[in-house]
Amino acid sequence: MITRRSLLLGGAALLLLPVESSADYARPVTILKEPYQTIATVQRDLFPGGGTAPSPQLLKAIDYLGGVMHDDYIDDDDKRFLANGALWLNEYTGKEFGSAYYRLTPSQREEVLQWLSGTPWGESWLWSLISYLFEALLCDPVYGANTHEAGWHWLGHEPGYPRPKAALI
Amino acid sequence: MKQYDICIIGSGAGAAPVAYELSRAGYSVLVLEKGPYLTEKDFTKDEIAVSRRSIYTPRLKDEQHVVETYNSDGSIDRVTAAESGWNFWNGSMVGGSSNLMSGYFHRMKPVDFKLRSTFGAIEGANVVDWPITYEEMEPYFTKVEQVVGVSGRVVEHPFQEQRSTRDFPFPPTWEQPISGWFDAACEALGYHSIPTPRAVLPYDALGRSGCSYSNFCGSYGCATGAKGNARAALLEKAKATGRCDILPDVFVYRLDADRHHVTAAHYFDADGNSHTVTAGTFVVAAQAIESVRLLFNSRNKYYPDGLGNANGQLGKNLIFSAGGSGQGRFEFSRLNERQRFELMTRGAFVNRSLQDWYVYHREGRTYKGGTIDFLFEHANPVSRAMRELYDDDGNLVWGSRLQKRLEHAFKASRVFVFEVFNDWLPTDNCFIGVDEGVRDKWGMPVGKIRLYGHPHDLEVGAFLAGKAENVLRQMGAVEIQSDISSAPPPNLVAGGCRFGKDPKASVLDPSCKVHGIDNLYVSDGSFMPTGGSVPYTWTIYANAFRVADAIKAALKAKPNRL
Repeated sequence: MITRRSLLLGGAALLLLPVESSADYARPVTILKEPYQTIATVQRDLFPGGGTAPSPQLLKAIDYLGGVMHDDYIDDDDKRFLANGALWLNEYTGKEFGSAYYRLTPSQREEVLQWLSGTPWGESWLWSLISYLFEALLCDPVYGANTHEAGWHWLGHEPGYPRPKAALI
Repeated sequence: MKQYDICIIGSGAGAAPVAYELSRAGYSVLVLEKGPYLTEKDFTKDEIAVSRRSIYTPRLKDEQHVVETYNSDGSIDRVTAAESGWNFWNGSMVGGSSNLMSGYFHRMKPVDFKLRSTFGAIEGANVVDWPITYEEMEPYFTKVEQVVGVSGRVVEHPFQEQRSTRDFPFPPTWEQPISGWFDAACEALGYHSIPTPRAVLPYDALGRSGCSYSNFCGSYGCATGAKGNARAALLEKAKATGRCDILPDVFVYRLDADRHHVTAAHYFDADGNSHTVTAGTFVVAAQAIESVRLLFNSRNKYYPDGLGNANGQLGKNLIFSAGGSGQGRFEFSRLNERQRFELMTRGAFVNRSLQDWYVYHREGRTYKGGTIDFLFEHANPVSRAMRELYDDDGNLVWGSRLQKRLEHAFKASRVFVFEVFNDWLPTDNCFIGVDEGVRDKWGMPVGKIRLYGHPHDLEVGAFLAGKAENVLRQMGAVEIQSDISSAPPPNLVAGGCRFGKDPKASVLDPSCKVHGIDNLYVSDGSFMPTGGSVPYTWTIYANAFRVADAIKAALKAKPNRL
């Protein structure tokens, strides 16, 4: 019989030995290629980390998004929207500032995000990016993100047991 | 193919009691389940797979529904689930959605069985009395407590229903310290705090392990077997008799019938090959929407409008649970050290509800009210984080502001939630059909759901939410808000095959046998003409045990049906 005690002891042991990232779900992406170069920059602006908060780089948020792009459970339309959003964003910044989003100054990028969040498609695109960023922040590390459980530690989140031994998707 | 005495379509709370009872009575039983055979070892607390990607429900591109709603001008808005993401699936696996329930088990009360005669007619609603009484159902509620396993503690309160046993067979699960705060607040307000009964075992019993208090119960499969899901509690025991076969990953798409008997069930296996099963008795328990769909898709020359639809009642009077939810936030800044510690205790159950207004009087009128359950917001961290994305003005938040909001939500406060359950009145405007123009991956017409909530439901829900808010305020919560709407909770669905004595006004007779067909029963929540003001699962379990007794009696009376 599984008892609460044995589960908690098992849990304690697991907490002492954080699960390392295994690229089961996350797919390493070529960061200098679009749409990932733009999206990685937007991720850093949406969630910069710092203080005790982990950064998107530590979380492997962009590789996690690479996994999202190969995820059969996510509609192709949604994947296209993620990629097209980066394209449309750069079309706008090209027109307004003469360069791609990731080449803008922090204050210019903030100005662009303010504009973007006021447009229906922009708000929806940012919402999608943040939702997958939160997944990278708070998923079980078997998904190849939330490295060393950094997101959990930052927010004091205790996972439920049993934890997945491998990504199920 | 082996010939069976009983063939059951579906394997959830409406199906498993029939399989359990009939196999133990010596009959051969076949259970056909569309989803996979998952057991305790398969269940983990993986939010990405379970909640974010919904791995326990079909993909909408393969299997979906058509959803119709009313516009303000009375015209109909039609969307497919694949277009809208509107998902009415609840759990495709052996044991069905009972695997994913939270296990709030409240009995229906005597008044729930006689709404029409107690409260009278309500304009625009098809309220009827049940053809059976609480007294007839009571032994089966008790049986569920003992066989499925319900933990709790009976306390006296104005609407405590009569019981044939003094108390629950299992004591309450481990309770969160905030339950004490709740009790004190209710006492101050003159309300009656009730320990919520749960279909969760507090310790090893009934051949299953006790709760591990993982903090992830509702929406998740149970890794210990403590949750009283249909597979762990009943089907495994049915299988152990050697007389119950469970076939997972098969989709029943049609029943054959002559004028008075169902003769065969046809199903597709995982490879898309069609097979046929014959049996003496057929039981449909695929959850309300899919059961109705199967009966429509089984139309033939004897029943051109669908099995059980000789009088146009099939699919009518679809109901959900009316009400909604609300919440308040407890801020660390307003608490002392001990209270903070108590607030952040993880894993234990709040286990508290209110039923003071199950019937209430207002402005000279008597109302049927309902139940309010209290709990903490779900532990899913991504979902919790997503609730911090917008500020009070509705603007998207990002950067350091977003990070601060997350830290505050997770580390300096905790959200306490209530859920209101009141009657979703049955009406002519809320029903199930099939859409010939939209097919699933097997080429079968999909279910069509027409949605409508009666204004009376909102009035009652808002009244109950106001009472719940009083408790949160008394407890010291801030940011208190409610959301009472006509949005249908897909996991609280019933009706569509209402039972009754009059064949012209119902699909099933009082034993849940289809009128005019001698060997076809429907034993899921679709039998309910009204839903009561409690979650449905306990009632579905209890009624399915009752139906099992009716089938046994019918088989004894006609032993040579095959």
